[in-house]
Amino acid sequence: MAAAAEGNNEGGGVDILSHILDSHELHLGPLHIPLPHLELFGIDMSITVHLVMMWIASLFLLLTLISTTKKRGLVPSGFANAIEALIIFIRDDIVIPNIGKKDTPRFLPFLLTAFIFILACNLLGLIPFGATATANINVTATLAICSFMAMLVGGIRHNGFIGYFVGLIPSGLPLWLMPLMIPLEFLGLFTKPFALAVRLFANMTAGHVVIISLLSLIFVLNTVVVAPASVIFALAIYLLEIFVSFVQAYVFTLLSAVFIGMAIHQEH
Amino acid sequence: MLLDPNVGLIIWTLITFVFVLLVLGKFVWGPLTSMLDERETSIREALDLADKARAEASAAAEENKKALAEAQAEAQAAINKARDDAERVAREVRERAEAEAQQLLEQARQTIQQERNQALQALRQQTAELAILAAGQLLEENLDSEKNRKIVDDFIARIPDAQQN
Repeated sequence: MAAAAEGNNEGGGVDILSHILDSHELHLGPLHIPLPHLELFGIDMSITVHLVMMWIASLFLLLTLISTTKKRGLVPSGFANAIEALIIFIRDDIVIPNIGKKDTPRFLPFLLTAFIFILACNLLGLIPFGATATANINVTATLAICSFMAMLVGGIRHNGFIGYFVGLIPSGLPLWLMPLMIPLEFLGLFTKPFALAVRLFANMTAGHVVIISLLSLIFVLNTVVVAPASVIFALAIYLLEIFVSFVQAYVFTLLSAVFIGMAIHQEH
Repeated sequence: MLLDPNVGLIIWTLITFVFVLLVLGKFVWGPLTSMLDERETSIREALDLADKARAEASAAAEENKKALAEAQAEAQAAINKARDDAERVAREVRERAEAEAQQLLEQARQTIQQERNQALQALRQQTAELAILAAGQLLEENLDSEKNRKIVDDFIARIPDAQQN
């Protein structure tokens, strides 16, 4: 993002994608740090920029969140208040209405972690030298797979292995619809995590593309006249992006909870 | 390019996310949610306790009021009883004193009557004897003793009636 200004190449055009795509070099202003290439069991396990960003976000989360639990007592203070408010919000407004009070303790840690992890990755993409790990389809797909696993675990634990898959098909349908419904419902099983992955990926990518495009106008048109407009619009989109970061983390968590709830309570 | 799959990154993401999930679950979400539950129960307990204490206090006040009313009633009853007793004793004492006085008066009256009767009797006899003696000495010679005694006795017998009347 901050490096956007350097993004013009010789042709006068701007390679927007290079700012969004994953890379093997960490760009800290003029400093370019190459990241190690790794290969395990024939799989390319290279450390990429997005992975580093995820690690930074994770480290930040672990350090700040664990420090809030150090001073434990029934009366909260400071930052612990905010974390508690977050927990209560996600528990009482997202998880309990969708999953039910009984199963909430099982899925609350996953949904809380998903929310705060996605939020941290989203916001990390908005600070200088940062990159948005959640604008990478591989990352969002993995998160969606975790969500999918939670759905399967919830559904199978509650309804039994066979019961869960049989329960996917709505009861009371005429028999001749079955050849249509069975593949449809089976497909429906996978569209949920697919939607989760694509929604987060597309939202986080789009905002950055817009911001970089607006700033690139200055270089594409090769004039400073558009600079004020570009910067103002980019700033507006940036502020919108902050909002979108929260909204997408919330939406991912909410939809995961809804899908888990649907897997558990199949008749609804 | 934007949708290029990267299996290595998927595996890394999975490892990272699961690690974060486990660590946060163990050290943050677990303690914080249990603390929230604890606080909720402690607040609920405190409220329940306050309610119970309030109920107990009002019950105690009610009891105190009742006890006070009972004590007042008892005191009133005791005062009434004492007054009744005192009145009854006073009346009895007065009645007995009156009766005794009446009796004493009666006795005295009877004694006086008796004494008077005796005195009258003695006076009558002595008067008769004195009269007989005097009359005998005066009229010893010429008067039939038996006939005269009768006259004198009749006369004497008339005397006390005349005196009494």
